[in-house]
Amino acid sequence: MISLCWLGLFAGFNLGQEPEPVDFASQVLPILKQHCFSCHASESLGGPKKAKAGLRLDGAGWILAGAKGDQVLVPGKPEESSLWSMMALPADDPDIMPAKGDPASAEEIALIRQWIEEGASFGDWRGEAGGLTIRKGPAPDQPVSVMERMAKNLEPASQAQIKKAAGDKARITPVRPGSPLLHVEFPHKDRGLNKNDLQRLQSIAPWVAILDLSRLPLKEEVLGQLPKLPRLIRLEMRSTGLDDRGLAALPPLAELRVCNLFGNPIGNASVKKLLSFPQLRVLYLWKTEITEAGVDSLRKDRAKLQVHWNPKFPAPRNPASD
Amino acid sequence: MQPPSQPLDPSRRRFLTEAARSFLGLSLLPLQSWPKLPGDLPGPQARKMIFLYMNGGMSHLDTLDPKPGAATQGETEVLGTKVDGIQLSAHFQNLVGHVDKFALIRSLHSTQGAHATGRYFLHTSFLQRGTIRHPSLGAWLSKIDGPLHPNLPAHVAVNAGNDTASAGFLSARHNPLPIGDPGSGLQHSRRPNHVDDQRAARRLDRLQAMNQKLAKQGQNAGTAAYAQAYEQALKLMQSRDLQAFQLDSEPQWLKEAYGQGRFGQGCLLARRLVEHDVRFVEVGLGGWDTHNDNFDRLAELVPELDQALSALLADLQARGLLEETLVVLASEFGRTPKINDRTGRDHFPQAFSALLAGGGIRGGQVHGQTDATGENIVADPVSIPDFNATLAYGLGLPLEKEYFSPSGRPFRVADKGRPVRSLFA
Repeated sequence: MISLCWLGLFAGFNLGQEPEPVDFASQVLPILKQHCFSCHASESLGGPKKAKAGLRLDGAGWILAGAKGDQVLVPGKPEESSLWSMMALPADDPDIMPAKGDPASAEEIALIRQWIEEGASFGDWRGEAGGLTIRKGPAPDQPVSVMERMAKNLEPASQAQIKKAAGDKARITPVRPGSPLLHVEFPHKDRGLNKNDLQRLQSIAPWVAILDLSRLPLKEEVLGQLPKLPRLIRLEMRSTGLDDRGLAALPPLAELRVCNLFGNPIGNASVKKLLSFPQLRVLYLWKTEITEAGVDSLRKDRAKLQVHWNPKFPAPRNPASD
Repeated sequence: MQPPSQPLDPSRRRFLTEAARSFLGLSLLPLQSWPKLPGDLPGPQARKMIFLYMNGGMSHLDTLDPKPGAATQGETEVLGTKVDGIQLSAHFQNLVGHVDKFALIRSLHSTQGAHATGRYFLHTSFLQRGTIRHPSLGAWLSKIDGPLHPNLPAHVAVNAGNDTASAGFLSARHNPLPIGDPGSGLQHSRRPNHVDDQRAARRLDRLQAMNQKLAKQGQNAGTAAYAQAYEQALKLMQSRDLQAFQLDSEPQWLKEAYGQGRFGQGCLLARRLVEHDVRFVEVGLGGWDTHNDNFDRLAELVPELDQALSALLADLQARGLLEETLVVLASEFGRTPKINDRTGRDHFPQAFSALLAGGGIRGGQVHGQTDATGENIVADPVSIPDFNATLAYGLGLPLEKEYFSPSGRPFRVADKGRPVRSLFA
């Protein structure tokens, strides 16, 4: 047991070996059984009639459910996980867990910490059924919301600035109620788009997070007038007739995450331009002229890029044969 | 306790997983959650909604909350998905492949066990009263956020029956535009051939003159809304986006992928409409009231739903529309797990299921749980007002704000419902 956990710890320092993650069922569960189950498990597993603090540690769902709604495990964050932090308290601390009996050994505590740091995977183990059926709050691998980060310390744009940018065509609204970031769209598709419509956005450039130009005819001359939008996260340009030259006219967009090019005659010549957006994560390319080879080269360059280009539809049903 | 000296060979491990799946069924938890669609933007972000309303009471055991091995399961077989703990009726052969896109609520409960009152409650969050008619969610969205398209209506109901979506006490302009047969486009939207421009203009002038005379006699919100509806209809008739209602321009293979029935074509129309900035589209599918022959009938009905819904999700995603479109599948109640002596299931408002996708929903998760028979909710119950509050939250509608009916009574969008925010995390 102990040799195993040391192996795990050394692996963490990357001593030339593939890191060996802690296995819950064989390494962590025995510690919980020994030190915790007498208060935090079902009666059949040696626990009390009613688990202390409402916390049960004998099932994955129960562990995730926490103590009466308070999380005890935050995958990836041992400091925020009382499952670890209360075991790691000094022996004379009144809050130390286990409350009765001997504290867990330093090795055992380190192992739990490492398991949490590695993402607290339960592997195939589920234990006792019940508890919570879903993860509460964002998953640990979720980066802090880009929108929230960008909205931080950003004073809202003034009504005058918004009015100036809108002209008589654009509809400008907060991306979510209360956010200073703005969603810009042009509802009157019949009226098209000219250079001034995009130039005007200069007055709200720091606030534009979503720009929707869908179904408007987009030409190189017009798109070339788009100001640099330092917080633009999503750019919608589906069914606009945009071609490679038009796309090439876009200014650098440092924060662009999502770009929708559905239904446009752009081809593999645009791959390079698309890769010039450093944060690009989601790309819609169905019904463009970009080929499988083009998509492959995009994916090769950006492992994390999701490219939607070849949807899988259900096969037609023949009711007669059913 | 030592770890096994030899790792289980893959087939054995797989056998165990599969066995655990079938024996433990729903007690398995979806510990693994899929990343959200847009990668990086947590939180609700819907601006539009497609509401697939299963009229008649959709059996949860035979669709979204199967109970493999239970006596109550009957003939409907079960399929696993990529996500532990998410199993669906085997009739959902296509939908299982989209599990990364949708979340399930398996702990819905209603207080209404009859169709008309259940339908009303589901659509409005309020119980039916003789003295007032409450707005449905599409009407609230139209009222609070307004239309996105300058000429198309904000709210459309396809094959939905006439007592589901309604403006209630809000202005009549928030009523849905009803479409009976999705295949035949918008009816009466073209002038008859013998009416030329001049003649049409003369007729409209005459109408306007008469209306003005009426308006002088006394202001009335009803007549004003009526006049407005006329004006809207005229604008719509002239809009080039009238073609949003025409399915002719869709390729045959895509029509077939959605399914050739009214529901499949209704879903295709819904996609066209949200693509053209209609805010809220309800599409109805009836036939769920399976007091008799539950299994034979669902063997027809669920595959029809599977086909249309799977095509819709694939299509919306490939066009980049799923990020801003909340797709919701719900029914007024579930059906009894106990099979009656006509191999049917009866009304069951105590526990049933719904599906949500897009608009910021994190796919691959389940909220709430029923017991091994499917009769009792054992975790995270969601009331009908909670459910509507969740949808309203997804659409960015204010939940706390009070709106007043013409008689001066305060109402909130989802009454006192509390949203399940974690579905959007």
